[in-house]
Amino acid sequence: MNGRFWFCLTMILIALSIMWPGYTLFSSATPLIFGFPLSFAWIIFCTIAGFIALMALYLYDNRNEEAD
Amino acid sequence: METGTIILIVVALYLTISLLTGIIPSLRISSSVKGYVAGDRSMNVFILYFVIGASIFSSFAFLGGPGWAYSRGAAAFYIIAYGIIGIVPLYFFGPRAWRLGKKYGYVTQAELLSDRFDSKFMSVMLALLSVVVFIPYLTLQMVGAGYVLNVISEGMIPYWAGAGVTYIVVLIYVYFSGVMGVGWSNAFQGMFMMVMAWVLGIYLPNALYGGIGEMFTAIMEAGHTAMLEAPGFTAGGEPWNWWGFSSAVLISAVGFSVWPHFFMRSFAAKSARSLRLSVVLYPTFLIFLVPILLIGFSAIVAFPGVEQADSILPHVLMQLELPAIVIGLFCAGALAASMSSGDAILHSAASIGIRDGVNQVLKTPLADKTERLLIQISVLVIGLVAYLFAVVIDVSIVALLLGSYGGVAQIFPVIFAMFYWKRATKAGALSGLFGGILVNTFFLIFSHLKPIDMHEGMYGLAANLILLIGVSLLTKPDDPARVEKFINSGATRK
Repeated sequence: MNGRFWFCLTMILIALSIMWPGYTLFSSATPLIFGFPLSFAWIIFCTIAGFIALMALYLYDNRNEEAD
Repeated sequence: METGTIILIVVALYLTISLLTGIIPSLRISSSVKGYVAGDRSMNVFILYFVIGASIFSSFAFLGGPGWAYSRGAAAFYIIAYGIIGIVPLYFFGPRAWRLGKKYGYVTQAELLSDRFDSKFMSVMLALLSVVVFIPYLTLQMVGAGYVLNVISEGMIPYWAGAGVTYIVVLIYVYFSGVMGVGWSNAFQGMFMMVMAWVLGIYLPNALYGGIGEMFTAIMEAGHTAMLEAPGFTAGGEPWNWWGFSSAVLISAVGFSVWPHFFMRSFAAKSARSLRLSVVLYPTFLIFLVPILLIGFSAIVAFPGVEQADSILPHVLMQLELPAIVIGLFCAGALAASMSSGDAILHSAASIGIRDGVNQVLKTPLADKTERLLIQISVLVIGLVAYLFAVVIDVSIVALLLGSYGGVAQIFPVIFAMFYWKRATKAGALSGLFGGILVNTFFLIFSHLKPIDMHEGMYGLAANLILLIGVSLLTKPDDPARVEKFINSGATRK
């Protein structure tokens, strides 16, 4: 199990969270989270999660690969 | 000073800075095709970040984004959603393309593909497809620029003049500096847009409702709760279904990383690592779409009944009695959105058209100097053609562009196979790619024949995969030496 495997798994989960079926669980307008409707806040949350996953993969790859 | 004069001065100032940031890099790149198309492979993280980010901040994001939020509600979240997964393939494809480019001199996507699958025909067809898609894309950017200047100046600047002046600036810096001009001007335009979007996105909900939470509460109290529930509404005002929303996200995400003008920026990177880091930082650009959508939401209760949703942003600004300098700055922001996509498309259309199209059908390849000059001339010609379309625009152009997303997504499977699937063959790749495009186009035109209400690109992708895999397995494997070159383009492990 290497870092790339975990990254791909995370990304598949994120993909399923921003469309059917995952997004259907977070599709309502309420509650407001920091003033944003749940449906909007969820997408923002997923964007941040995707960013963190990419960052982690980048650090992992830099440790394990030669630079070129 | 009169309002109109102040707006004009701000816009003129913005255009001058854009021109200078676009022209200056031409002094530093070599006069070869590699210099013009791939910036001598010298782009650092800072420039690449903005080049990659600016590609989605087109007129569509700046005008269409608020328009979607205003008329279709939560459907607009789609614009953010697909970017999160859409950027990921570039993390894997980009460095491979870069390594191959550095070693063998590639500067475009079609060059890679036509070498792997040993097919000049594929290169020429991809070049044709690119130019056909890019011209309406560019036209829409020009329309956006002309439109904003016209509305904000209250008709003082005619539509044709607004689009014309803005794109003369773009033509000049793209003509002289090639991709580095695109890069540096995008960095300036990108920063400018970010600031404008955040200022407006936070200012409008506060000025109109007293805060973001208050704004969304007001939308719900006014009986528009359904607007805030995913997946929102269709363009026709009907509730959108999950098939439609999910397949639109998926197709846009699949197509995103393989848009030829986007993909070919990989070749301009200074190193594989700097390319990767720019890809990793891309979601920070997506967050910048949040204030853009807030602008649209802020108008739902405050300014109901605006027929043309895309004009909601200029409409709101004109109602607010803002100081002239703020309106001028906004105007420049909208121009920046239009120009930062327009310049990249213009540059790529010309480079791809000549290098992957014309150069492939000639018996003797062009000399480097001639090729560069031809690309520069094509920049002017393509700019002019798009401008002619912009001045005599009709709806069919918008439809053509929307239809192209499903077509571009069909490039994804062959790119994936090029890097990761040894057994893919020339016949498989050709039949998959063109079969997919055909099926996509068929369901685009005859959309009532779709079995399920999904994006037509999904049907195209299904046909594409079946043909690519099926035909590849039925034909003899390609020359292993050629295949290995592409499969083994990954990084060396420590």
